[in-house]
Amino acid sequence: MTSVQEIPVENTGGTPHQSNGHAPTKKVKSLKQRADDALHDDFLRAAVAFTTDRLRGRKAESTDKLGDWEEWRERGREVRTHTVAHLDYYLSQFASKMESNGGHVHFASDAAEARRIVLEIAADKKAKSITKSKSMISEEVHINHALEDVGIAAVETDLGEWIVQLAHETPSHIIIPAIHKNRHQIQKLFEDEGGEKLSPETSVLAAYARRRLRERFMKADIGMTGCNFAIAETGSVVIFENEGNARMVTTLPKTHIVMMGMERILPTWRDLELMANLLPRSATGQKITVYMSALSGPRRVGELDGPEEVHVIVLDNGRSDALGDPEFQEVLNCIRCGACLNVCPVYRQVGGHAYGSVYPGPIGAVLTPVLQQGVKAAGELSYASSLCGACYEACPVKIPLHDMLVHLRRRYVEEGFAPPAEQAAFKAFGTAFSSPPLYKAAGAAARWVQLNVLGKDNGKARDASPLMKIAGSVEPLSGWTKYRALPAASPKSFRELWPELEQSNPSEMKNKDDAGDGA
Amino acid sequence: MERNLFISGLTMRLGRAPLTEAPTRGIIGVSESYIEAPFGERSAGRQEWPTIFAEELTGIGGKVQIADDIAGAIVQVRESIAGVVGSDIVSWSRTEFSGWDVDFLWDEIGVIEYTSLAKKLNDAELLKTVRAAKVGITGVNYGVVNSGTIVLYTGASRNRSVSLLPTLHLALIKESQLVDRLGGAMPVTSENADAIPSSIHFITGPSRSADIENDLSIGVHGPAALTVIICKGI
Repeated sequence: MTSVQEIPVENTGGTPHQSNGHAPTKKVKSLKQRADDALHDDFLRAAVAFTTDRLRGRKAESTDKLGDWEEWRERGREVRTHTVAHLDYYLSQFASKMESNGGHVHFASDAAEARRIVLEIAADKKAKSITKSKSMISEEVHINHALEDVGIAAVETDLGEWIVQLAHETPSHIIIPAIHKNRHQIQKLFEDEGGEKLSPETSVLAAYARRRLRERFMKADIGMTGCNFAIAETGSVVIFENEGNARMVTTLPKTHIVMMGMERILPTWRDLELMANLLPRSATGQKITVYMSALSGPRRVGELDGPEEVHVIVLDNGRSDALGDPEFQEVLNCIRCGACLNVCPVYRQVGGHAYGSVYPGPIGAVLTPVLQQGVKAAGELSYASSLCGACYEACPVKIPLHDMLVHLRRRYVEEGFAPPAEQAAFKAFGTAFSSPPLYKAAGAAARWVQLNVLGKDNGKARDASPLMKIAGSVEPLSGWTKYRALPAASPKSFRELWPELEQSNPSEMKNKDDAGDGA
Repeated sequence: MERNLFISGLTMRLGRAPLTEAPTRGIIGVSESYIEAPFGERSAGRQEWPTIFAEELTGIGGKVQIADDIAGAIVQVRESIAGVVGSDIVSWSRTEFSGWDVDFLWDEIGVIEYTSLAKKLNDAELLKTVRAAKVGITGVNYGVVNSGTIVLYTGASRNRSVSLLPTLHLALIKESQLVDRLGGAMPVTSENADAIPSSIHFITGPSRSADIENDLSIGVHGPAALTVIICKGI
């Protein structure tokens, strides 16, 4: 099964600026450093805010029109939960049907096995060139690097993915991979790629991509795609897209390789109708994507186009560890819409690369440790969240991501990954809270520190004491004081105030508060 | 990894015995209330379906012509390909257009059937020719009214490249092929699951991308234009 070594360390906190599908060679940056980089990139922050606002607005508009969205979400949750709870049955049914349609089905327990299967198929077909359509799972198994190692060119054909590939980077959003690139950067990448002068207009750049990638589609020996859903009852792989590149990749090359996470299953076509309403609306606010293609094996006898051979690689890669785990099984319900990214206050500030994982945002913070079995750096991602629950509200299949993030933090601490200072602090906290005299003493000490060390409140901003000026400039306090002032302590503690409060009339208290608010 | 080993690993994780028959289900697919009212608050009789389909598809960049009869449809087909020579147009096999009375496409204009082209050319030449085509003409299996989607089931004379490679995709829909919601266009699987087509394409508008600074571009990889002609009464 999955071992940490077999997943390139990019997932565990690698630099964002790695080439597509490449294992990192540079020194990895910490989550804090990556977040800091992102916070100083004004274009990135503006672009992420603009895009996520837009996607969020369009989602709201399209779900409002659909009627009772909460009922749709609940049905989505039930269908996904049922499927995952019976995954052995449905996956088996899917494989049998796909095989009776003439397709080949392979099972890979981890990324290394998935790569090996792809390489074997490529060798068998003597492939020189592979075109790919957008697929997060191929990022997960880092297939491009493995192919390049044996001299096979793997070309991304989704416009955003191609841009990211040319820049030797990784996608920063599940749905819009090149969210962080501006048109001038894209123009430069295209000019370098083809050696011709272009202008930064969208139409010129898109036309260039169309022309160049068509050449690649025509030459490719193998087309590789992911899979949004796989329908068990007919052995069909369903792909949602807007550009038409997935259609190209599954129509022109003689061999089609599908790489799918083992949880992508839906029992029936009726369930696909439900998901076809939930997924595009949640992702981009579209009623349905421009293309939804259901592919059920190779071309039939007498057909004159479409692949002659279809291989489906079903990947576990740590997913089965969530199966049967009451706290995490529901993460397998995810339909990869990216809605949780668009609403996440943390993602919106730092974008996808700061997470340093293949899957960013709240879903990435939960999925990454699951796929890597609780590796320290991946567990750290659970702290890149304010636990506000917006992700849960946005999720079309109601995954309680905020609860899972808390569970992950608990496991992170239980596994002894919390910093020693934090462990000591919580130990002290536990001791103090279990004893009233200690609690009182600790409270008084804390207030003394707040008032005498941190500095007194002058009504507007805190006047830092000389000691605080020094303390606040170094870790760990600087993490807080760099961006904001610590809240001031009031002259009296709550315990000191309580006898007065107890004597006072509640209605007077209210009037007093009102007057205060108005002042 | 061997399939049985993989599957039995999942069964073990799920902590129960392997299932020998299909699990009992509660919720399946979309709700009854949606099936009853697929247009939401708007109530729509069948006679309004062509107009609603047109509104939906036009709203996302497609072009829709509604003809009252075959004669009207023929005029619109002619207009849609005006100025394009027959050798720049490919189509599904003409047998797929029964009931449309459009023999002039092949006999007069010289539109090329994909199937006859495929018999003459090798794979590379075939692709090159279809790729260079300006128009691809297809029929459909269904038109989904509440989303403006056309649905094409692939077959030996219903080739996938025709709706994909040319610059303009021209699709002909009979009014009788319209269904209110997506579910109506999905394959009927209960009795016939083994006969599923090799591919089914749900197409809603021309190819699009917003990957460059969120700026919409049309015709990135698939057709840059989609024209649908709906003929009433057939």
